[in-house]
Amino acid sequence: MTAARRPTERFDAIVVGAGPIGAHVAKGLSAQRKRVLLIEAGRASGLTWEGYRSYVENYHTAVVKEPNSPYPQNESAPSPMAADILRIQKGTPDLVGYQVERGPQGFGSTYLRSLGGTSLHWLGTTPRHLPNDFRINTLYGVGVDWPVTYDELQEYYCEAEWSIGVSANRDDQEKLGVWFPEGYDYPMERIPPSYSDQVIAEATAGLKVELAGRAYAVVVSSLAQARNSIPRKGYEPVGAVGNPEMGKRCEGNASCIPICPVQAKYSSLKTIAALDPDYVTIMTQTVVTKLTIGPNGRIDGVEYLQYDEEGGPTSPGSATATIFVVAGHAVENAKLLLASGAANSSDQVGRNLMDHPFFYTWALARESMGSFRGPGQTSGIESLRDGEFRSEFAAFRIDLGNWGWDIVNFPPNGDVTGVNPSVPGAGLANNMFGRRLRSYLGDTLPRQVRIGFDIEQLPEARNRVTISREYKDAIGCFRPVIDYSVSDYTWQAMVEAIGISRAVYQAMGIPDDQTFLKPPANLPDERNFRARDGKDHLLHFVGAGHHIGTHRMGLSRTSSVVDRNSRSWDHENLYIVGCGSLPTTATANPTLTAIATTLMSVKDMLTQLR
Amino acid sequence: MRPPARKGSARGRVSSSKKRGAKKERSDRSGGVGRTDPASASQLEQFVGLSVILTGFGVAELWGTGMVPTYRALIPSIVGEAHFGELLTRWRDIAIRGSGDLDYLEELVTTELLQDDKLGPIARNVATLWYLGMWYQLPAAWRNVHGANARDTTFVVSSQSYSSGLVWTAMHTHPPAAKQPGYASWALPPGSRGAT
Repeated sequence: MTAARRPTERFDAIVVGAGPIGAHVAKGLSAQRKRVLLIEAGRASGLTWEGYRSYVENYHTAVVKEPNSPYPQNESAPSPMAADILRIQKGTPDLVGYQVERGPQGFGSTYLRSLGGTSLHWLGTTPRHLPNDFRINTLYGVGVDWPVTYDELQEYYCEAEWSIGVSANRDDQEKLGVWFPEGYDYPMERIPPSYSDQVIAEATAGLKVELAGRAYAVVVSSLAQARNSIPRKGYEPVGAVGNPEMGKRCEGNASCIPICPVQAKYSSLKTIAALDPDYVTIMTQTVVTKLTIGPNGRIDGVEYLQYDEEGGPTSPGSATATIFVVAGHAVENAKLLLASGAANSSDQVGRNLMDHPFFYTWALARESMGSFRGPGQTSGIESLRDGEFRSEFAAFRIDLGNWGWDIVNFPPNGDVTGVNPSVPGAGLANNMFGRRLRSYLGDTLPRQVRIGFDIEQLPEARNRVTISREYKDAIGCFRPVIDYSVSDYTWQAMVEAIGISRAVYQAMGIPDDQTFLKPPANLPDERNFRARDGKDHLLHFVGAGHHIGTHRMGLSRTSSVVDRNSRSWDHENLYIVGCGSLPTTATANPTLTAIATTLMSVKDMLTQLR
Repeated sequence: MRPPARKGSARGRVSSSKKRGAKKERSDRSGGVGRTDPASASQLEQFVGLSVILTGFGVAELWGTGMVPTYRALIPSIVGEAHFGELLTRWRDIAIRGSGDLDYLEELVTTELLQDDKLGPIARNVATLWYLGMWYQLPAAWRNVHGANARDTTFVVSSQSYSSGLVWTAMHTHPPAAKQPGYASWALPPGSRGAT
């Protein structure tokens, strides 16, 4: 499939953004013989096996192996890089990199502007939201209810799981309170839990923790994941694009973030490669700059800038269609709508920016946990994703990391060099070398345990994406300007997370002096939080990469940007889809739910394209 | 490039360790260090010998990575032949004096090599090359006094050097995104417990 330049035909739909969301819109519409123009700001290199392998080599040779490290920065369609997110001084915005941050907290999440989008570097964790997550205002008096229920989304969840290829066992998920249609099962068996999952599950069997005066069981269970395992009847695992026999099973590369070398992990490259070229035209290296609004309030076209060389000159163009679908990521979608003066009669565009603030603790087990093997996570403690406590503080999905102290101090490099080693005094800088260094590494690193909390965050109007004439990128497009903070509802959950961590580590028999519940000093965004118990706690979180809420769906045009079908309240032929449409974060990684809501949206789009 | 033929006599080493009152076992306690007679070793052999003591991996394991020629050529291209030659000369001296007694040899490496202002940072970088496949920019204080080469930046040498890093073997796993161990391998108990 070659990238078209300046198509002259008229399309049924123009889709902006070729990540997992845009790919599913193109798939759904083209399956009904609608003509689609799919426009991507970034490059297409992942679509060939050679191009993809260049990404793997980039990862190997990257000094800092951050989420976007395999995918070179593109000056004409820049992406935020983790290394650019710094401590924000009061009153001074952080201007480094693509994203402008005004604080008070740093927004530490990145995304990727490229064919395949952020699904190139995601982990691939795909739990469903819980039925109660759709009505937290009714049940707990916080946040907002969704304009759809779990039951209404059910069929689209099933479709999404089969479309991207999710490995999970139905009974593991049913224990969490989700339900399935009769006869339904996931397309592939669950990914085998790691050795460390098994150790933690055994040690914590029967463990209970108290949250807001009630006891809750700590239950380790398998995670639903979009990576290939053993297929169930009727499903054929999808291998690598351009090398289809590769990647039909996860091979344990242990590098899901930022890249699966064999493409056993789903990325939307797979969906895009399977699109019917008779119905779908793809334009890459094309940055949509504006939606144009006709006199009747309908969107009547897109304006774009094309480039041949990254960082080189651009040429303008435009295209038109019957319907328009903005599917370019929660932050980029908000930018485009704000730049166009579109869809914002509610003044909610760009607001309610959320993430799952990710809090973590770590410990050194007595015996080897077999760390640094397998997918990043294979199990979690999912039993605390819902409960009465949500009226007082946030819920969390707890991940059990398989990669040792990963985000704590990024082993093993510091353990070798001695700069920030896992154990003080270790490494070359401390004259530990040779056989002592070798035995230190072999003895210490496999014992590392890290558990993390994806914490719910409530929608707040002050957390937002805006644009400003002051801040533009190399081709004159707006850079996102982020205002971000976290409320006490979420901070308090971090304090609860400390208690849960302590209970888990104690159950594992790890001595207190090998248990680390506080952030190391001097991290960006550290905060001393006075908890409900009156005690002060030093807290810190990082981004989970889950950008949510910037064009939220709702029941009313005055308080939301789109309706339940992700259709703009203001422009009847405009859809704004993806994680930005989700009105709350709940505790599930958002992509699966975003694909499900998009599939529901596609059904509505087709009613306009008869 | 082929590994060099072994020279020298193991017997000679053992007898010299007797002089220092070390254990009387005849087995090779030095993990391959000094298998080559240090006094007559070529520069390449000296480099591998130094690498053995700095990494804790044996001669054959180092040759087995395929990286010996690359690293041998890379280091002088960054720090200069003079500094590299001095490093190997110092090592030869230490290896002769410490021959056959690994504890003593390590003590000499610490005090006379790693703690040396000029040679210590280069020696540490030899170890990071082997362990991580990475060259780390030498400390600012070193560059200030001993020379700031434009090639002296922090970088991963190559995709192969990354995959060949000894750290992954040391920590009983494989380099992420390379040498993948296969479906469900992560569910197995680690180490020897998985062997039976």
